[in-house]
Amino acid sequence: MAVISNGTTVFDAGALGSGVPTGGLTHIKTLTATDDTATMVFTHGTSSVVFDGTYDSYIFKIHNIHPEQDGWFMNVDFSINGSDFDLTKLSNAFRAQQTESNSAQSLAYVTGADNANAAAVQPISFDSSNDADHAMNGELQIWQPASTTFVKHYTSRFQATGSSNFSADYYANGFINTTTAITTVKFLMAGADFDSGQISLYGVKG
Amino acid sequence: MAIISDGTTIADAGAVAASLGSIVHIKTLTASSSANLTFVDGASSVVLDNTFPIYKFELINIHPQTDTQALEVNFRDGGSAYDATKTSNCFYSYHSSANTGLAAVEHLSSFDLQQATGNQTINNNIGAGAADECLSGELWLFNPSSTTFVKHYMIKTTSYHGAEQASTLFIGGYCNVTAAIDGVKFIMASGNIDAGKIKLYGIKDS
Repeated sequence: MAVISNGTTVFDAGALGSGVPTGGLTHIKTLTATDDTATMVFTHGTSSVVFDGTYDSYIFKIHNIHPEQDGWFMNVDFSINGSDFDLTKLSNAFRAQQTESNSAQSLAYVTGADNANAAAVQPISFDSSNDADHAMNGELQIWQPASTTFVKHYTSRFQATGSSNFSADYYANGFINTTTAITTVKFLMAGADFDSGQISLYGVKG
Repeated sequence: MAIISDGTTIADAGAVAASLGSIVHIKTLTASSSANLTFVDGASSVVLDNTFPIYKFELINIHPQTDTQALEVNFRDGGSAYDATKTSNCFYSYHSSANTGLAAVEHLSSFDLQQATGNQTINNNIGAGAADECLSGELWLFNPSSTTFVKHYMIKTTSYHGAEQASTLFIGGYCNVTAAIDGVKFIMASGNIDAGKIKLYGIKDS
């Protein structure tokens, strides 16, 4: 049964009509890490994940990621086939930090967390702590992953509790230097596993 | 009465079951010579609990009653006082209207907090005497109701600085408490908030 008001279809065939405003952000998929989760992987067409030309950009909202071990970066990597994570990236990274004891504060470029057309993973959070009440939160946005014309830009900002009790505000921005469509995004710790936390994928309407 | 289309429930029991997007507007407060703008869970239709994992405050055209004052924020972690212990870092980029070489990005240690209970500066020295000078930006708050983790926040605002500059502050930090945060207060360092809006949104994750 359809409901039509003033000539506009409000809903039909079990879905809202296309003319009904639903906001610019559409939830696609949430993955939850438990003890010993090695990776959190979003692959287009798998487990209800949409990651193609449906949306202009995609945002991963990452909250309360708690690592199994102290002191590691959280990383992200990308694939065009779901199995090979070897795409070159050109990126930059910087962070601001302040310790709870006021012993060290700075704004600095993070050499080693950038990529210079390298196939290495992209670090997106900094020296994370696994104290019971510590975690990291933030977001990663990637634009038009399905484009076969352009490289794929990404930006990220993360706020974390560092392993020696400091606040770290970490930024990594760059692009995947390929014109092949990206189909898979994988999150992993640089060392050990995830302990808990969630990553939610959203599509951003144009 | 339920509205069911092709076997899918569109609306039932006074609520729309179909997805209306993942950014949910919760509350807008409008300043009018206001001493503060305060959002408290359960008061005046404000939701600030585990309904959403992530909350976003949009600060729109905040105009101070007294020129060159800072806008500040603080958090309530039990009781009625806005005095959650916080550690944070801050950096800013700025550019003077006269283009006289005042253009840089720098760490701003004066707005870092080290286990402090006082207000967190959002942006300083707002306004140079004209009615059109104001501040806009955003504040993200992650999992405020968690009783396991500290509560991270990320702030980015741009203001018309009192020294005739465009000044953008980036602040990352956390309320170093495991008690739930159930209230957020925005206040000028001195004087009232003359005008402007603050909008609170919840971000769905499923």
